[in-house]
Amino acid sequence: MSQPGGAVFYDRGVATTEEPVSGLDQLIGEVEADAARRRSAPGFPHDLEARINAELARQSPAPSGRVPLERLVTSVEEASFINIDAPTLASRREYAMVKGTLKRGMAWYFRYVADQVSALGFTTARTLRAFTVRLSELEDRLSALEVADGPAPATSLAGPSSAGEHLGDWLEEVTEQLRATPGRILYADADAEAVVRLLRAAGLDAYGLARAGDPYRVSPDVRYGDLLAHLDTVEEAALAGALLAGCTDAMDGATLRGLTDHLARCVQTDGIVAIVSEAPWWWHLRLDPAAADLAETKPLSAETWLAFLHNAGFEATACYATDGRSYAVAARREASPGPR
Amino acid sequence: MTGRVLQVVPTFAAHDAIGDHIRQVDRLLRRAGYDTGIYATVVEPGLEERCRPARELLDGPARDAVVLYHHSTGSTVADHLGARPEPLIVDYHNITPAEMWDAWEPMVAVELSWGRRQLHQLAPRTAAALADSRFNADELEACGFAGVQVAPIVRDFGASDRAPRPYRARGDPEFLFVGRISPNKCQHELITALAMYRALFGAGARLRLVGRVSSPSYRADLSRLADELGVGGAVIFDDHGVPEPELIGAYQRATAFVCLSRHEGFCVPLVEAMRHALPVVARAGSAVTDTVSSGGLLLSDPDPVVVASAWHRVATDAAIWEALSSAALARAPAFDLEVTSRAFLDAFERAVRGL
Repeated sequence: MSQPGGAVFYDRGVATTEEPVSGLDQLIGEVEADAARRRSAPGFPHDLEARINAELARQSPAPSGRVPLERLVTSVEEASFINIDAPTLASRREYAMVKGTLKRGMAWYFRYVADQVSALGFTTARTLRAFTVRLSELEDRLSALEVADGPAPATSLAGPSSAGEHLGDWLEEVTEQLRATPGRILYADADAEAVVRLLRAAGLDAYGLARAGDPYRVSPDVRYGDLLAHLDTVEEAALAGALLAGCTDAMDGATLRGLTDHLARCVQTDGIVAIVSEAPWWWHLRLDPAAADLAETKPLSAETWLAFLHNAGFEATACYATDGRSYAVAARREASPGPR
Repeated sequence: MTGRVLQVVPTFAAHDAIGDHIRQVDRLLRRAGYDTGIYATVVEPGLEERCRPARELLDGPARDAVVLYHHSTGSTVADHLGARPEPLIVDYHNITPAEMWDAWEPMVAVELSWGRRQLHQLAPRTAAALADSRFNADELEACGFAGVQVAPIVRDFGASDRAPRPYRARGDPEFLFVGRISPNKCQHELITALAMYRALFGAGARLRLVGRVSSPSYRADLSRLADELGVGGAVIFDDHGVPEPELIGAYQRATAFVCLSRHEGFCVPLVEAMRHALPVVARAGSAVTDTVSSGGLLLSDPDPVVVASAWHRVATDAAIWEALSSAALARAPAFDLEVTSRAFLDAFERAVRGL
């Protein structure tokens, strides 16, 4: 076999070369090229290579992890067995006879001691096993607690919308706030047809979502569907703002988290999210206590909205109506990387 | 600069690279005027006069002393030293990654993991740190140690060959590896490379593995592997302790020193091979790259075909063989006792001056 560029013959024989010895890097390159050439040559032992690769894969250390505790306890158990049957072979026959005699004479004593040592080992292994079970239980509980970053975000609203009775008190004010940032404005979802009509009449590029009414009779600017499901399809920073009323009563923790996460993604920097809601105290006051307890929807406090919006990357403020029966939250999307 | 230096190690043994290093460091510190002591949790029988039990350190702080702790695995003494008032210098000899031992000796893997955790815990407590190699120093810095200095292992390797050995053609090349039978030293990859070599280049090649067994299960698996690949008769295990003259004979007889370790903290046998002008073919990585440097052929993550081809090239090309023999001999003086003693003492005194 010859090397390119030189007269080197080394296939199973002593090599001579007519060229100076190549540098180490060049030598490595030559070796790798030779290996590649042999691999593609007829007669290469592919089956041997496959067996070797399987063996190397079997021996390859797994990414660390910790050693399973169960294996360690098993190691203790295996080591607990004390074997007193010592070998008696020797280089000379008389030595072997002496060893055999000593072994027979002392066996009762060694067995007595070995039994106690074995018992200690097995007791230790059982105790360790109890610890591993307890530790596994603690780890499982800790894993469950570690999900305690709040509920996972929901993918749809928790309940039906309320009527959004107080929106009319705030519409003019929130319209002015939404006008600050040009672009698409989403409205959801109480009385969506009428509200979107008003917003568009005020010059906003508004469209709406509704969950009530006939899905086949909504206007072109209103879509029928769930708010969270819709926001999931909206591109990042595609909205200049959003106005929410009615659906704001259909929130639980998971829903609120899902909603604020989506808004943080969908609303562009400096965009405004406005929320209009009945004040909880007024809602409780006007409802029969039993009806309040059993209601599917209920208004959240302004503080709850402020907290979730703040965590999602908004600078938010709340304002109560003069009679205190409703409030509006205005939240400006900050130029930050994302939810806190 | 003088004072008192207490060297502490988990286990002090006779035929152990770290043990040898500690004895040499003790000698050169005494020569430099320091008052010294060696303490260990486990002292090998016969060494009690050189080493005191580490429990004597529980008697109280040592006045005007510096503690030099040799860290290479988990130990109770590391926890104790972290709480002592004396200035602490860590001499790091590297810790094998635990995952390399998980499948073979889980108890050893636990100690190795423990050692890694202790390394992080020692960092804020340590006044200065020494490392055998740049590789080890990088690990210390990654664990939060500051001001790490590279100070080589100090060892009396004895006389070195003065001239490169002449190439000798042979139909039955013998490839040699010296090192404990342990998973991180990857003797199984040497066996697979031998199997490929014999399939490609001829059935005369042999592999000699010299070293005591650190993992009985891994050792058993090596025999199984060799038999399964049909090279059981070509792999020679010298695993019951080889006397010095026999070891020297093995270096002198071998065609090349081959090493495919995936992890080494220093690898003393590489230096021994280079001092015997034996060509070295090794896997690059861990501390092997630092130790071999320009003294051998370093392969980056090679597969068995590349390894076999490299071995064959070295075994059959006289010019290559002699060039590598010369390169090994040129690298060897970097590890002469006088050189490493001076380098270690300089690094140690710089560390002490900074306290």
